[in-house]
Amino acid sequence: MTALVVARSAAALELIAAARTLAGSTGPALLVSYSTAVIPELASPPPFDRWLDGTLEGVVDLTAQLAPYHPQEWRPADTELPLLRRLLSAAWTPDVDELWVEDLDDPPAATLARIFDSAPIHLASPGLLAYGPPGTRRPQPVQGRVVRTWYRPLVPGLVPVPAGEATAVPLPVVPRSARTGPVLVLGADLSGAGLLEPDAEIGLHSQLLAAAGRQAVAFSPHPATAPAQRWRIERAATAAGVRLTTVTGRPDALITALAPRLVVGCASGALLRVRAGGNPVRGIGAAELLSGMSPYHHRDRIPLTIADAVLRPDGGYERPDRLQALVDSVAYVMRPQSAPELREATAEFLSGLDEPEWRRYFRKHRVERLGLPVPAERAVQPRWAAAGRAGRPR
Amino acid sequence: MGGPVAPRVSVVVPGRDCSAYLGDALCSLAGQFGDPRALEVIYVDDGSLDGSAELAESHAGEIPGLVVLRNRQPAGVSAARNRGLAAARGRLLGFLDADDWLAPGQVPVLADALDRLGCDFVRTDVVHVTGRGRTLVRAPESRRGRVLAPRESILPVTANSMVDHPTVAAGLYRRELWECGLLRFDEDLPSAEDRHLMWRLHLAADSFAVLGSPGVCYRRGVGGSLTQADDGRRLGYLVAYQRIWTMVEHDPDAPALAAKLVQTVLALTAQHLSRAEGLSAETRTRMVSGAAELLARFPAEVCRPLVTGLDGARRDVLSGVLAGLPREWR
Repeated sequence: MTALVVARSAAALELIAAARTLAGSTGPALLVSYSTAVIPELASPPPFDRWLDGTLEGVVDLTAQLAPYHPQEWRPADTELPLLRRLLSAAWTPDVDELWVEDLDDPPAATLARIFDSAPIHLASPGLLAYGPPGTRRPQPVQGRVVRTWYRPLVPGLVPVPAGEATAVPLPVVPRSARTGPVLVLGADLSGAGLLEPDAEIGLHSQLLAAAGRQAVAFSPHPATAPAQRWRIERAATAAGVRLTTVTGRPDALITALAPRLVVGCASGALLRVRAGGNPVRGIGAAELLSGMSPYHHRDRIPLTIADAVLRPDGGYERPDRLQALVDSVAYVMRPQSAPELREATAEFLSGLDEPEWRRYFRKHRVERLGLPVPAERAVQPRWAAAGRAGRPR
Repeated sequence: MGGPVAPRVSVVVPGRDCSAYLGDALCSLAGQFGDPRALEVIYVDDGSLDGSAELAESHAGEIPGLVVLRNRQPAGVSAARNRGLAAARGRLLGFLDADDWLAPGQVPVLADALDRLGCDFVRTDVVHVTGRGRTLVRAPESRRGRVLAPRESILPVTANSMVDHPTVAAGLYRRELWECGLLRFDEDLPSAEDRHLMWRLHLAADSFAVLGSPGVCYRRGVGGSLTQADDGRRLGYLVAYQRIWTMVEHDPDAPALAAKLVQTVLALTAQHLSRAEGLSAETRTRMVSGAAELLARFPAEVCRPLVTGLDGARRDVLSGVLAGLPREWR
């Protein structure tokens, strides 16, 4: 009986290893690794080797197995599934008894969940995506097999939405920087996530790299960022006078090696993790990404909302209950059916926001359709809004 | 740069205003061989105005064996490739467009096959990429992994053959083909220079082989997208096929080869004329009359059956061309 661990990032593998220990899942496990980079051929492979001697028996490079097709486009018809289950059981490991996955909404993990259709599923997402509802409705044969969701407590006091069987797995000790070194800038793969066009992504990286002022900068590009894009980012920064060195490695290792005085990023879980270690961080660009994000229920909305609220210079969300109320409300407006019990609290939270704050995280049309309070309506129809009825009065 | 020992492979990368994607092409070449001295990468910058040449030079440390050549004024992709070939020192020669990339290990696979099979050149399948969507475009030759006679892959007439698979990057070629003048691009052709080359190779080279190895990734939707202002370049295929006909007119196999050429001219013309983006009025006019003129050069007994055998849809698209042909052919 072997567990299949389906992961694309070292952070996920680290979380899954810890979660398995907590779950008492001590049997052998096989790692199925995959890439979500737009161009897998050009992305840096994650450093999975270090887990091989202890927790894992072996690694299957699923990207190589599916090449030249992209792992995220692997959608076999239902008629192929029994054959695939038999072939993969023979080629990989017989008797897959558990699936531990970093993501369940897209291929290849969603496909493996369809193939190994009797295995219980543990969902362990290491970043901020764990805090929000799933991007789309999962088919019941998959959703019904999720026995537990695991997450990292990246923000003290904040729990995922919807609250339920989500279990926090404490972070390992994050190194604390000696702060004698350069400014470390963590790049983001925003074009790969569909959040920005490549040209705009270069502009955002220029902002990140300029945040160092006249200090030396160590730039850690996201592993999924293609070389051409990285070259353009580096050229733009150098032309703007940034003293730039490009580095590689996980944030923890870079903090130890470089002792950065500040860590700058956009809105990633990695940045909050660095912050949780007591290191000074700065987040840039989350508010702009939020205002441009479409559709409203894009699953990156919760990660960006959390990062923006926590890292914004003017603050306002230091109290965990207020941050939770924001996250709950955004999640409800995104997907009301995922947490209908949050409606009343959402209405209350919205009615307490002034307009600039409201506009930063919500969209009028969306909220109106749900019959929830909109700032302009408040002065005119307070009782109507509190009753929560859809539509305007005649 | 390289020492006294010649690199095993030289890959020529022509580029013009390609800074958006050049890093992908060059970095995909960088790690192809374990020993960096095995590969020479020759980037020929064809008069870029966006700093592509400087971009390549500033990252030369990442690309072992990189040579950057610059054309001050744009001379066209054929001239750029020829310039790269003239400078190349490798025993085996390859190409890559500046907005495409190779999967890891692709060049060693081709180089090993070429050495093992001992043929003049090898060709492979291609992956067409749009975002995360990929389509495998197979080289139209089902006999794989063994030495074939290039001439035998020119026909059939009515189905795709190796001369209809013009991606030059999907292959590796012996240096001797360059030295004897076969592996050379016609600098008068603003487009279809690759089709012209493939015809020449398949007519005159001794041997070749086809491998699977779909490690050439062709990025769709960029590069070669001509605006209506400069779409006159699309007419290059008419000159290309005219020149190919001149090569085969007195060939013993001329009738069969002529049929293939006629069929291809009809197909390409129909394709161009029905493009969703449309042609400028001037180019459309020149294409219609140019195609009719070209077709009229072929023997009537070859052309007539192919023209009369066109299906209704294609007839409609080509009606202007057909109107320009001798009456008894239609």
